[in-house]
Amino acid sequence: MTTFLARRLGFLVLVVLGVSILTFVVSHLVPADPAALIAGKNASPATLAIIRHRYGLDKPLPLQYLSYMGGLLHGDLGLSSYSRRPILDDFLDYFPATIELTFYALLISVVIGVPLGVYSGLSRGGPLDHASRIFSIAGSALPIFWLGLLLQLVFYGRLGWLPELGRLDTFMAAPRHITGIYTIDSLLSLNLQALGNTLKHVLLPAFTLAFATLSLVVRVTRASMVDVLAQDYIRTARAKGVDRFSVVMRHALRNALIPTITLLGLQVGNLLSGAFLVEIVFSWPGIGFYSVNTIQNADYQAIMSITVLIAVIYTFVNLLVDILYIKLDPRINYA
Amino acid sequence: MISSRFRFTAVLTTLLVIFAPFSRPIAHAANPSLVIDIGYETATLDPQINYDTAAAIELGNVYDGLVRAVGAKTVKIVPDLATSWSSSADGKTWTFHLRPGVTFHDGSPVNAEAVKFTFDRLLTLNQNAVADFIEIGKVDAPEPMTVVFHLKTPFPSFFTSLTSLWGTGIVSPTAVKKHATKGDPWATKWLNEHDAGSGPWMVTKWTHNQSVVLDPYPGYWRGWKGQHVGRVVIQWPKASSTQRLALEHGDADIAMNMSPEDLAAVAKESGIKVENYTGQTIWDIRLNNTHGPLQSKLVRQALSYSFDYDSMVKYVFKGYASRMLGVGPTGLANFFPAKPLYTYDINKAKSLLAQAGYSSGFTLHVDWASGDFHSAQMAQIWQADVQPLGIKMVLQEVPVSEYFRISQKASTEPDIWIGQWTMDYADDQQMYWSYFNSNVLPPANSNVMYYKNPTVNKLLEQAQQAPSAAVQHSIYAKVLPIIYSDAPEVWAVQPDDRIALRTNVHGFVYNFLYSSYYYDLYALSKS
Repeated sequence: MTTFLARRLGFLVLVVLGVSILTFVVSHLVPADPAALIAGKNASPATLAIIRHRYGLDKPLPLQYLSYMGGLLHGDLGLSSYSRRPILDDFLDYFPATIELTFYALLISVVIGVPLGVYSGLSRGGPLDHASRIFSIAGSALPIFWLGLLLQLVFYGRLGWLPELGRLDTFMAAPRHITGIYTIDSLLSLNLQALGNTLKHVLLPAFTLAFATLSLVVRVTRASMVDVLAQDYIRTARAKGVDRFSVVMRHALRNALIPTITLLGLQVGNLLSGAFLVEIVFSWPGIGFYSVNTIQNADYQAIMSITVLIAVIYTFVNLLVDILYIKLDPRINYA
Repeated sequence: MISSRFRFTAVLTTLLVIFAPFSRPIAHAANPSLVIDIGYETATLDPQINYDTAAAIELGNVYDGLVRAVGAKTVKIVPDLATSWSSSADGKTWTFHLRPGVTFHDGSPVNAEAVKFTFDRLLTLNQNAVADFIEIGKVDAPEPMTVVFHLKTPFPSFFTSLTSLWGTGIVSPTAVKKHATKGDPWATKWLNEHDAGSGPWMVTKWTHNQSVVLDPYPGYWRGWKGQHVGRVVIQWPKASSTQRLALEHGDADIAMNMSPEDLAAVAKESGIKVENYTGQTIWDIRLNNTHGPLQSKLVRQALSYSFDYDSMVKYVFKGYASRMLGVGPTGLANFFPAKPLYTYDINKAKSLLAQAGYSSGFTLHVDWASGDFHSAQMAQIWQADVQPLGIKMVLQEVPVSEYFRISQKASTEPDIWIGQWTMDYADDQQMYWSYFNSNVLPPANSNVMYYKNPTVNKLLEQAQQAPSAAVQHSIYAKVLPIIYSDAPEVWAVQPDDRIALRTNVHGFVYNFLYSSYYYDLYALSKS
């Protein structure tokens, strides 16, 4: 286990290096002049020079990369030319909102997806099985922003049940800042109104974000359920007189969930990138919303930092999934 | 084992959480609040750094300047913090007398020291917002309420340049000094998100990517008698459809960046009105005067005659625009209507091309900023119209960030770029100087046409340093017909500003200079 972890952490360093070089090269291939964007239409050459110097844009490219990596190792992600603030501050401000959104999206995927998949697998060919298959195809086919706009139109525009934008009502005070994740902060500060308001606000964006993953979860759970139910040990259990519920919940589901968990680990990446679109549609002030702004402003430093941070998080989540396998299936051994 | 009492409590708590009253408003004044949806958030609220239309509504309402521009069709300059002013005979010294009894949001007095401090801050920081004020040499405060600007050279537009919302907001030296640090003596970090102004509104809270909350400053010099709103929230939903839904539901009172389709739809709904005003932003088509056939004045004139101005207004802007009537936008100082105007006349274009020796035609690359659908449609119509002349137009969208780079050299600047220009202050001079003077090429200025005419240069320089506005005006009367006849660009359209409001919002006054970017929130009320 220790060697496994060491190997994976070593791999993480490689990922960071690879991602940072790739992002650096790609973002500098884009023929944009961030200094001119910052300076505006009437800037003098002297102003441009000052700006280039302030953001280190006057140095040769390899030096820019090295000084960036040097800063990164010291926890200094640099200054965003878009927000004019330290990128780390921006990240800490916006990322909790994305974590909250992604968490609820995952929750919805699991809480709805797994039972639906199990039920589909148990009642193969039944009406619900067909319905869930149509639902899964829809999930893969519908563009996420379109679904978001549609849900907004129905649940806010027509029915008026749910709010349209943001994390809280316009005139509602945010809960005391502890983690930046409103659900946790409002619970810790016993601010029930804020909690209720947060949940109401997160529902539409989280469901929009979850939809594609949800349909995958249904399909994969269904398939592996069908697979597991055909195994000998299930037949043995049934023959021993174990009731159907226990067979499904204790014997089958545990094994059937392994592919689902792999899928969920991989989906974290998809959810994070999906969050870019969902955050724009729902004005959700997360890292996706921020990143779109940095990209539009050719803010190299911020684009790189955010990409590297997301790559690190993604790698960690996958590591977590690998460790979770051991808990679920003692036969898996990384030694 | 969970006790049933615990379970009951847990269920009750959950129900309470879910069905609790969903809004707990932040305590605020009894007057109703106003919510404004704008498409873009600004990056900084520092009045001496920001140079961005997205911040104009905050800057203009939180800070006072020395003077302000008013007027929905033409611009009049009225006192703000300054009550009277005069200039020396040589036009190099400007004296302003300040309004007594005005205080900043921190309670300190607005005086000549504060004005001097503000302009010192602007000039020392030397960031984007300084662009309109480089001619200021020194600012003095000889008396507590008298401030004197010494210009390096005479600059007749100096007074009108003070109507700009960028750079001119007077800051409280007390507040700035309080938040200054060793590495940041002008407190830029603090002023990035807070305010030190004397205007009617104070920045209460800025939640990035969400909203800015403005609350009234009780000590504001115009007082708070009469009808006002109690709080203003500005938020930034990017999608037009999102703004439309919020407006329809009454969750937004004013929406600033809706698509023509959404505007047309909400205009029909009860409870919403769409107001249309001629704006000062122009859409002009810049020809690269150094590329191939475009070097010929006759070819450029032919292109000016090949552009169907009226159809562009009618079909591209759905009638919500006017064709340009001269070199700059109408309504500001130093605008001159051109005579005769270029009109859509394909035969005239044909004969001009023949005169220039290009009757067999040529190819031109026409570019515009990605996502700008108005320019895309204009380019397509124009492309079809010039085909009979043998001109082939190759159309392409370019990201703005890339355009900033390619426009810096004549060789990489596209043959034709469809762009927009908005005046910072109430004088077309700003455009004339930075557009048509070949001594100030990009990146320092906006002569992306790389237009060069020595006579024009000489006259523009004379106008720029004329001892008085009247002399400057008479010089422009001479130079503008030359520029118009040289046709370095095609002066296309001046579109309307279109603003959607709930009908219970009263007191909205459109401001021609500040377009839809800024309006006086102090004047607004809600029923």
